[in-house]
Amino acid sequence: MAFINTKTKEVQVKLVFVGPGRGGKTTNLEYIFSRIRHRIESDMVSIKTQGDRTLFFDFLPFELGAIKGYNVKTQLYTVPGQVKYNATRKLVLKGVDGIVFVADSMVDRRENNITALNNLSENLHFYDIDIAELPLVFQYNKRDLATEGIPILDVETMEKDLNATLKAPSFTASALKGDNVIPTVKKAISTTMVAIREKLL
Amino acid sequence: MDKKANDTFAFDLENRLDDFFSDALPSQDEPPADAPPAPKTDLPLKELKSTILAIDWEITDDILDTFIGQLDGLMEQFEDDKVIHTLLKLLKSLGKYVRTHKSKAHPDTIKRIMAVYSVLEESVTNDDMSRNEKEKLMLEEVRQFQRLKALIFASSPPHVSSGSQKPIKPEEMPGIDAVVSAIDELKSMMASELSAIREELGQLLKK
Repeated sequence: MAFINTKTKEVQVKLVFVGPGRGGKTTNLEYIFSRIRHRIESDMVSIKTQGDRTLFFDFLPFELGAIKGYNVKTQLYTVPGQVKYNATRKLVLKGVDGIVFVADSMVDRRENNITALNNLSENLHFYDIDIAELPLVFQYNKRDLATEGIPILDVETMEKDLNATLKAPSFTASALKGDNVIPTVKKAISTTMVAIREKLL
Repeated sequence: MDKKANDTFAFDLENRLDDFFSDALPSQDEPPADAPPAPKTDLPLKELKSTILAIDWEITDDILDTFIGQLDGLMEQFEDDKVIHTLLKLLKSLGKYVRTHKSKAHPDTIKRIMAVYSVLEESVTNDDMSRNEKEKLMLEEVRQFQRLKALIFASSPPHVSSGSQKPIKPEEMPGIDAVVSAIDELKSMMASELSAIREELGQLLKK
């Protein structure tokens, strides 16, 4: 749930990039950071502690500026995609306001995408959040691999696999090249902000 | 909420997002004016540290290629420092092993990479540390490396183990020679395992 301080006129929005391991979540954040680093005061942070209580994720906070008199602070997170890090994924999803699901377009990652989406749904359920009710944007990443002769899934298949019931906005992208990374995050922020607008107006 | 308020909100939001993300990119070649210059030895290690953290999180070919590339650069830089050079060699061997086996690599490998890095960082940045202290730390890392290698051998399936090779106890070998030997053995082990995997793949494809 977005943190809104009506006294200081400040809104804090938390967006989390999720998806299968090696799907390009961190690459997305790195690209976004490279595009905005000259105008934000904060740095992209990776947090890690060793031992049983492992907490490890990328974190990119920035101030978007004033919208309707509120200073909007956005926090982008990525979570590790590997199956064994589910505890971390669950923890980072706490208080999430919007999701970018970064799906891997490679043919052999089809099952991984579906598993990761189901895992997201289960983890959100843990916080009593229905995935269908949460602002969500799909990104079908690694489209550039087609030019290298690597077989990729067609968009219709990915939509059918992942977005048939959710009907969320979706983008094809190449996070490595930066294609459609910014439109994806812009859509995720705007969808999330629209979802909380009642509290601002 | 009335429609006008909604429209104004959406309009403001879109404008704000366009403004925020559409600024011209600064030149990639020029560092920010207020950024302090990084020390010569600190920066490459910082990059190496980030790469190691990334490996601990997700093992990808790109990250491991970057890791090995960074190590090659550092090995050239520290060519005349045997302690640093040996530690870098250890990291490279471990990196190559992880690149071959990926998530099936022995679970202690990443811990070992972090431990070796920790000694490397200490050796490079701590000017108060004596040569003798650095060598002791390095030799301990060599011993741990040998121990991990023995564990890997022990957990390897029988059909991929070399069989004819008699394990050499770390204490039987001198420091640097032991490292070179360990690296060679590790390479040989990886080559035989790769060969076995190729054979299995070939058989599967035939089926």
